Amino acid sequence: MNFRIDAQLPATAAQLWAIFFDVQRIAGLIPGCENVTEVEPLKEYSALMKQRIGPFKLEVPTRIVVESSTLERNVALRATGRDKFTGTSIDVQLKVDLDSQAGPAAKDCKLALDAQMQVAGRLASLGYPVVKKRSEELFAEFEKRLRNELVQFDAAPAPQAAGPAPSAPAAGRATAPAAGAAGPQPGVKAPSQGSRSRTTLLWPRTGVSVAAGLLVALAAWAFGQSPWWWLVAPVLGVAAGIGRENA
Amino acid sequence: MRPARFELHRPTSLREALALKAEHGDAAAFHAGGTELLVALKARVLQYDHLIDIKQIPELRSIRAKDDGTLVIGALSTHHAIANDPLVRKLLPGYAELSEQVANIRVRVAGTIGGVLCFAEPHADAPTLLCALDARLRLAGADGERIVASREFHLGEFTTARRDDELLVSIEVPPQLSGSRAAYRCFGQTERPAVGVAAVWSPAGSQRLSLWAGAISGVPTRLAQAEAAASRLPQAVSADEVWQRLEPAVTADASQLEAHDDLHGGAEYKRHLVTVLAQRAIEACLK
Repeated sequence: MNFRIDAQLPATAAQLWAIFFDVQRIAGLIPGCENVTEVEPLKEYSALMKQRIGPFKLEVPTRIVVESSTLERNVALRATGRDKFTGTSIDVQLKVDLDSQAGPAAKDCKLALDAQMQVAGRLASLGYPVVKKRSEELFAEFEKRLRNELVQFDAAPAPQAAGPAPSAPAAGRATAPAAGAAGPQPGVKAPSQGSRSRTTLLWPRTGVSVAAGLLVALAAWAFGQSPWWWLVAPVLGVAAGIGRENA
Repeated sequence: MRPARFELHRPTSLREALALKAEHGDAAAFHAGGTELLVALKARVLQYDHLIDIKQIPELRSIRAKDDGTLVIGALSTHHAIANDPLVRKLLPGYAELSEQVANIRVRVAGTIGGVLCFAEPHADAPTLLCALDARLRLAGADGERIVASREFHLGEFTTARRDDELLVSIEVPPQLSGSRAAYRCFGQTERPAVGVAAVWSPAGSQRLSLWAGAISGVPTRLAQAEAAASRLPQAVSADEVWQRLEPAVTADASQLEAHDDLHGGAEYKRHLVTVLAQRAIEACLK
C-alpha cells in the first residue's frame, strides 16, 4: 500500500527538518504509536505500535531506523516489527523530501512525503480491503495531525536561531494547504525569513585543529623554520574549527 | 492449531453474563455458536483469558411474535432454527429461505444470528436482509436495555454499535405491510457471499421497494436511487416492466458502491453482480 502527501508550506526547509528529523516527534503523530525511545541517537529508535480492527488487536514492537538523510533535504525512515501473538508483521518505509522554493515575496518549501506499507501474517488474512481501509484511516489521521503540527508556520512568528518553532498550533489559524496544493493557499501569510543555521566554533573539530596547528608550529621550530608558524598555525587551526550549526 | 488457554464461564441468566463481562472486561468475550469466534481463537488472531458461554441463557433463544405482529428472534437462534421455525416461515418466508442457504449445514446448526451480527464479518447474508426489513436490535448492558436500528448497527468491518460490555438480546422485525414480500439473492465462490442483495417489495406502501446490497462493502448499503425509482412507478405497472424501469437506477447505485478487488472477485465484477442479483431478488418478490 502506498500513500503520499504533497504540500507547499510557508516554512523554511530548516523548520520542516526540525520536525521530520525528530523521530520521536514524528512518531508521536502516528495514531497508536507509543513508547518511542531512542536506541542510538539520530539512527535507531524503538516504539510500540498498537492497532485495533473490531475485536482484533495488534501490538507490534517496532524498530525504527533512519536509513539515510541529507541535511534539510531528505530523510528516509524504515519501521519494522512483528506481533508476537498473531504473527503479523508490518514494514513501513517513509521518505520525506524537502525542496526550498524562493518566491518573489516569500520563501516556501515543497514537501513530498512517500510511505509504503506492507502487512503480512495471520491478521492480514482478514482481507486486503480491511487492512487497506484501516491503513488509509491511519494515514489520514497521521496527515491531519501533521498538518496541525505544520499550522504553526502560518500562525507563529519565525523561529529564531536558538531552536525550532514551538509545536503547539495557534488556535483558529488552521490554514495548512491541502494535499496536492500547487501553491500557497489563500490566507497563508508570508513565511518567516529566520536564519536556518549559524556560524560557530564546532567541538571537537576546533580542539583537534588547534592541537594540529600547535604540532605544526612545534615541528617548524624544531626544524629551525620561521617563528611565524607559532602564530599562523594555531590561527589556521581555529579557522578550521569554524562551522555552521543548525538553528 | 489449538487456541490459547482460557477459562470457560457458563452463566444461566443475562444478569450473570453481564456481571461476568463487567468483572473480566477486555479479557473476556461472549461465546455463542462459535462458528466465527472459535475459528479466530484457533487461528490465534484472537485471544481471551475468559469466554462467557451464553448458550445456557433461555431468554436469548426464543422466537415469538408480539401482539402488534413484530417478530422477535432471540439472538441465540441458529440459522437452522430460524429456517425451520413455523412463525418465521409464515411471517418472513424470505428470511427462512435465506437461513436455509447460509454456508453449510454445520454452520447453520451451530451458528447464531446474534453471532453473525455482532462479529460483523462483512461477507455475511443475514445483515443485508435485516437492513432491508428495517429490523431493530435489542441490546442489554449494565445500564439497561436499548434498541439500535439494524441499519445503524454495522459501523464497518468487524465493528458495530454494540459496546463491548453489551449483549445482543434479540432481533425485532416490524410487521410487514400486507402483500409485501422479501427475497435475498447472493453469489460467491466460497461459502461466504461475494455479494448479496436483499429486496422487500410492498405493493401498497408509500415506500414500495427496500433494496440493500451486502458483502460488497464493509457494511450493508442501501440502493437509494433504485428505491426512489420504485416509488415513482405507476401503481398498475406489470411485473415484467418493473425491472426494465428500475435497471438504470440499480446500475447507477451499483456503480457508486465502495468495492475492492479481493479473493471474492474484482470490484467491477462485484458491482455487476449487484445488478444481476438485484434483478433476481426483485423478480422473486414479484412472482
